[in-house]
Amino acid sequence: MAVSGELVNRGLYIHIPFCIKKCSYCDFYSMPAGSSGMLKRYVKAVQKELEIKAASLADKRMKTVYAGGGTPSILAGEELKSIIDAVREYLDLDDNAEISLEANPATLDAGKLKAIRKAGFNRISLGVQSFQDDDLHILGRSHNARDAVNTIKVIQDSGISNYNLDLIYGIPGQTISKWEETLGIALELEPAHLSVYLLQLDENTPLAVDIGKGRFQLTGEDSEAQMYDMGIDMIEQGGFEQYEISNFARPGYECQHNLIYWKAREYMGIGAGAVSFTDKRRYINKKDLNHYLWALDKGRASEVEELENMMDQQELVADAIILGLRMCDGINLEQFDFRYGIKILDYYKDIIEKYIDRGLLNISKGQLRFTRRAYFISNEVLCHFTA
Amino acid sequence: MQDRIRNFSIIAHIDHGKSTLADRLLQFTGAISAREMREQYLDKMDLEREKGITIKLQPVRLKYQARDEKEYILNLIDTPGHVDFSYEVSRSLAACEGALLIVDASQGIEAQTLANVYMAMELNLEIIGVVNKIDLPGAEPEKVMQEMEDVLGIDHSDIIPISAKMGLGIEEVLEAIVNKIPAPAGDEKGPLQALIFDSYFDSYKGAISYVRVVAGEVRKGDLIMMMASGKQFEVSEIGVINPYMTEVQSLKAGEVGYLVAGIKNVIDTRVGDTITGARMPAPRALPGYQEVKPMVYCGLYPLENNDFEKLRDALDKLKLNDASLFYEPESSDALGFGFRCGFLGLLHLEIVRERLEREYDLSLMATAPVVVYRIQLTDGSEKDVQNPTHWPPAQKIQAVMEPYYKATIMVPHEYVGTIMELCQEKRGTYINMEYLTAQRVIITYKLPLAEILYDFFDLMKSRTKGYASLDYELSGYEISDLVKLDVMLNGEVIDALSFITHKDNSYQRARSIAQRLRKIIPRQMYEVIIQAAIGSKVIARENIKAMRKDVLAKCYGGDITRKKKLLEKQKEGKKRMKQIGHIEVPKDAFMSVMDIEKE
Repeated sequence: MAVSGELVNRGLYIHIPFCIKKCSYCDFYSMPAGSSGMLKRYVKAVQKELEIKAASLADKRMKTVYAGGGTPSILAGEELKSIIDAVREYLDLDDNAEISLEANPATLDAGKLKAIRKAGFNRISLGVQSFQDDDLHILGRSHNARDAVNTIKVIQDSGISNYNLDLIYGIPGQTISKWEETLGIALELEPAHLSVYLLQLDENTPLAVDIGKGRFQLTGEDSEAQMYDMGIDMIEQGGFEQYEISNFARPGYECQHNLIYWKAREYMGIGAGAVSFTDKRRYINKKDLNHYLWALDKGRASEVEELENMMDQQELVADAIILGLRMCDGINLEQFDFRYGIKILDYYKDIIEKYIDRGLLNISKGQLRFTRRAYFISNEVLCHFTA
Repeated sequence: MQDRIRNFSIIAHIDHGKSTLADRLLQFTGAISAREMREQYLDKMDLEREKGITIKLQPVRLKYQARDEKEYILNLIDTPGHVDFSYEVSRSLAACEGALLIVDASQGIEAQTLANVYMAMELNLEIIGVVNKIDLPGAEPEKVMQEMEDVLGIDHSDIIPISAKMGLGIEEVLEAIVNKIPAPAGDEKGPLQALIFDSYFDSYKGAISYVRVVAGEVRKGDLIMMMASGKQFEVSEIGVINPYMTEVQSLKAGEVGYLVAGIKNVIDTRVGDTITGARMPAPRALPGYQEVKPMVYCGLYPLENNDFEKLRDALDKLKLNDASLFYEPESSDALGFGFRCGFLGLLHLEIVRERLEREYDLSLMATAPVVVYRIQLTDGSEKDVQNPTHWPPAQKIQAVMEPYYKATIMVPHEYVGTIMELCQEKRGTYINMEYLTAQRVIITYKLPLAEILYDFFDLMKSRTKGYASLDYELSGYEISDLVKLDVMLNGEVIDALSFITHKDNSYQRARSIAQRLRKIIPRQMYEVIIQAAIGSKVIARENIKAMRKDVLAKCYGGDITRKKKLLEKQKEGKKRMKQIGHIEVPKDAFMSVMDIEKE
């Protein structure tokens, strides 16, 4: 068993909490970008945090880097480069490391992309969401469908072949045929990866409030399920393979960084509001930009909030199953037993047998996984594994 | 000695201020200091204090220095303010020579108060009329006093206006108790006769009996005998409640107090029984003893199958304190092992169920309450059925009889039509109507108990804006055209959902139960078909579409903790469900046979 190699499966997440404007469905920690001076200060703070955190690591190897937000592409090319430079300076980044950047169609042009490549990014995740202007309007996006298509062309021209498109379905007013159109356009553009998300709203988001007031209506469970099923069919026919409940990739283009989350591996979060998972502990940097800037300016780490601490074996196992089953390959039973020291099939015998019996789980080639029909009702099963 | 004793009850409708007046009497006579005072002092159960209703106050002995400068002993023996407990009311009244009738100055007399006053009059009690809450803006004390005179013949000028809340008129009430209620006049020298009017279980002392000594004397160390059961016990402690348990040497004729005699179970000290001396027993028991029979049954099942023994222990413990609670093990295909429990009425059922869940930390499923049906079989035999599951097949039934009650409804005259219409809908038979005053009417109908339990009370209240009040008593069993309705989920009969209904109502009931279940059973992995059938004939059908979505679309490093919390919550929710076959049924569904859509 090549278990030792697994230990370097650690990812680095860098949070850039700035946007051009906040979308109506977004519940991430982000805010409209202030002055360019503010962005510069933030970049310096990120570099400082990298230095501090890296110093405390015995093993400094990182397999992936993911800059997310917010809209990290809002930063200037040199700023992005200075961040990746700092990563390389303080950490031991694999030569073939996947280095992803989340981007918004309205923030990219040829020049910017050149700088991004130069900075070292080799993967772009583009927040397209829809190729219908009506949808984009309801979602409060700062770009239209044509901007998105143009941006994708620019990405293709820049020589970056590993790029993802984020799409959303279940948007108020979205019909099955409009969703089909969006998917069709996305597939024609031949990305390497597609993330296809059901619109799920945190109750505090403006769109949720509008829906609560009756201004918009969600499309409903049955049509959402239909859109999901149709999406899988179309995307698979387009040469992609589904590898997670909401994610599809051409062979070899699965997002390595996200696989780290679903494999319950460790990750280091940098930036205001970034989450880290290490040493059986999950914690979040305070969601307070001013504090973050102030603390790192003084050379101190940001204050954190503990999310989960001193997790016991049962909690770690629960995490690993809840996350692991999200992947279409599911969980490798042998590796799981080795890693956690429990026989999962014995430990969760009743639940597993019950859902195998009901056609939601199956075991083949040493992997425990969901059946395809289980994906969209997976919580039914997953909730039983919570600690 | 006896001429300084007054034994009295309080008769009042719920909310007319019984507990508050009791609080004032305690304070005025100095039984408790201001520091010890808390509201509803004599309410025994947390449940009562919480709900602001009093089922029954603890008895208490007060010392009162009257205006004639003599000191009197006043024993307050409460009557439970709910129709479920009317037998206990009669025994409490039988322990007294007089009663305070409290009527709310803005509400007037209610049907049940009236029933209890009539009972007190039959027992020759002196009635002292009291109009309470005269301080409230809507109070019409004059009108209410006139009503009391017209309806009950209590002289208007003898009625005492008070505000228990403000402490107005309390002394007048105490003086009336001393001056109007006759002193007890039992034979102090004769053989012991003590009436048990209440009892409860104490984990240290065993069953404690509250008694009124009618004749003779009882002392610590005496050997006593319960006249109904013939069981004998040795008295280990006697005392009075003032309001603390205070030991005394003896209780003599006319006195009220408590008695401890190593009795392990309240069943051996039944309300209404007579205690006498084992060595020199009285020739006969005091009149009026009855063994109370449950009127309403339901199945109680633990949600967790392994809690069966825990439920049995809890029932055993409650039973120590509640001689009228009945239970025996039963099993259900749908719900597993549980108990068929019998109660005096719905309030009794509700109290027991809530205490089991609250005090014994159980999560319970209750099946719909049913009355006891009497079935004549074709082979000539007769069978009592209090569980629809035991309903015989149609071809074996000769006739079915159900309990009918005489319902007395008091209502403002503008609602006479409304009430008569409702009684007709509920299969009632008109008996009588009487104008108590120009505004107040008393209507008597014979109604099936099953209808009273089902929704009669709620409909009566809602259709009369809450003005109607109801009292009822058993009138007898009568033949009815009743059928058993089965409820099926995906073709399987769920025994715990079966119920009995009149044939004429069966279609409507079948539809409403099917619709209700469709609303309360959440969407499942598979489609669920709900059917209601009489025998093999399906008369209502609904379906619940299969659940299509239950997913976390996104789950990444930043929000794993939050997403896990959602899943934990979902798992908790499943704990409130009963798995029947492949279907998860919310535990409250089994009661839902009773809840139809409210108007």
